[in-house]
Amino acid sequence: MKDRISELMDGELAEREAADVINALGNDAQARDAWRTYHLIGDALREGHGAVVRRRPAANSPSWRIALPAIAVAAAVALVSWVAFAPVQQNSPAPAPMAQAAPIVPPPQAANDYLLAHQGYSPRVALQGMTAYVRTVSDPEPRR
Amino acid sequence: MKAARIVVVAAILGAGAAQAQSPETLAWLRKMQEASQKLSYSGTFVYQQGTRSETSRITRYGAGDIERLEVLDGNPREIVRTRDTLRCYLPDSKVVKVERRAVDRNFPALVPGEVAALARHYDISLGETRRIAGFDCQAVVLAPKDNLRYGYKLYADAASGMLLKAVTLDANGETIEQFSFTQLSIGNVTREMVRTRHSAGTWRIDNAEASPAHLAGWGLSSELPGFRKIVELKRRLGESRSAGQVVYSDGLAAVSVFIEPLDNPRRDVRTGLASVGAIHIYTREVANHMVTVVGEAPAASVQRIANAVEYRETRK
Repeated sequence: MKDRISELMDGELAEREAADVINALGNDAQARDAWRTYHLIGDALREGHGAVVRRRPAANSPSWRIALPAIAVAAAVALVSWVAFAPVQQNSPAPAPMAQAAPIVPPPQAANDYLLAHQGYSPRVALQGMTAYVRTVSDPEPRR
Repeated sequence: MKAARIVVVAAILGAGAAQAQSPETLAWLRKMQEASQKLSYSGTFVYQQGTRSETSRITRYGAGDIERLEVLDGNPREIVRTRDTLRCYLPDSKVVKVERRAVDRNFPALVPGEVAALARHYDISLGETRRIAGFDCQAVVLAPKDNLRYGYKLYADAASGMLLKAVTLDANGETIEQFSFTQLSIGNVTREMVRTRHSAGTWRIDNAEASPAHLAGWGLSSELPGFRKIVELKRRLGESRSAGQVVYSDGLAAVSVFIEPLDNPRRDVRTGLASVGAIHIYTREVANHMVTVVGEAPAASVQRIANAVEYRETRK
């Protein structure tokens, strides 16, 4: 599988094969680790310095969740957007003990329960009233 | 010469203080809060997140302190909040989620001292004036002083203080999500207008009771700068799972830590990071419990709090 991932990154796979590897990336944590590692190696080679440990995944990209079930090309773009590495801001007053790359998962089934329970205690609601609650009843997942 | 130098220093300090503590900008935040708690209004707003947008209607009956929110796109989901209870109607699954408030309705209000304290974590300044949904609005900008929190741009009606638009921004100044009224009328709301439109007599009721409690043994090995504990609860979640909840806040953003025992039959736990708009959800396992951290903060902040959650055996 690692060879296939490497080939995917180098653009050497046909569309059909690429789709299979992308599916594997979606389902297989080991494959994702390999994907990340290869990108880190690639980045380090290109930049030629030890910035690697100060990098983190752009996990807050909103696009990944919507695009995953889409066609392979879109999925590839989405994958790149959430496993791509963005530099940590240098001016942070309290440099974080850098978070390891967290696996990206869909919102838990009970996400709305957590949101409902959480928002009642968010000062945002004091400023904004109930509009903040729309996240709770909003349905970010495509309906099945 | 010496006098001139003092004047320059005073001017610099004065400018710094004006930016951080201007009574005018803080007064705007208080005005918004008062408006959200006193006015009667009804209007339509759009919630945008990434490429998605969703239209909802909100009505507030000031005299009874009741609010009703109805999503107009897709399934007619609805929330009605009274002083002490919040009911969330989900017609597709025929479920009513009932959340009774453990603390008083105005919590967590931004009391005057806390509004001023916001200036420790955000540079607060007045932005442009702009017309939104027919109202002349003043923008108040809250720029975070570090990358542990998001920035906000809030537009309030100059006359009433009503918040017409709220934008959440990331460290690059990109919009993460926004709420914006497209139509609003202030006043003229009756009790009838905030009643649910669902007759939910036969629906399943998920009761979420919550009461303040001390969660013995649970805590953070290190707190996130600026976020302090504001409430600690025992509660019911979903269909009636029991859970602990600890809420941390910097005065504007809040992060909740949920702690649930992993009992048998073991539920399927997917550890990792998820996001819903500006909210990140990070799940991990600690001491045979599932810890779920939910917060309107950057992924790294939510993850840092989650990774700091620890259980220490308490001695009797």
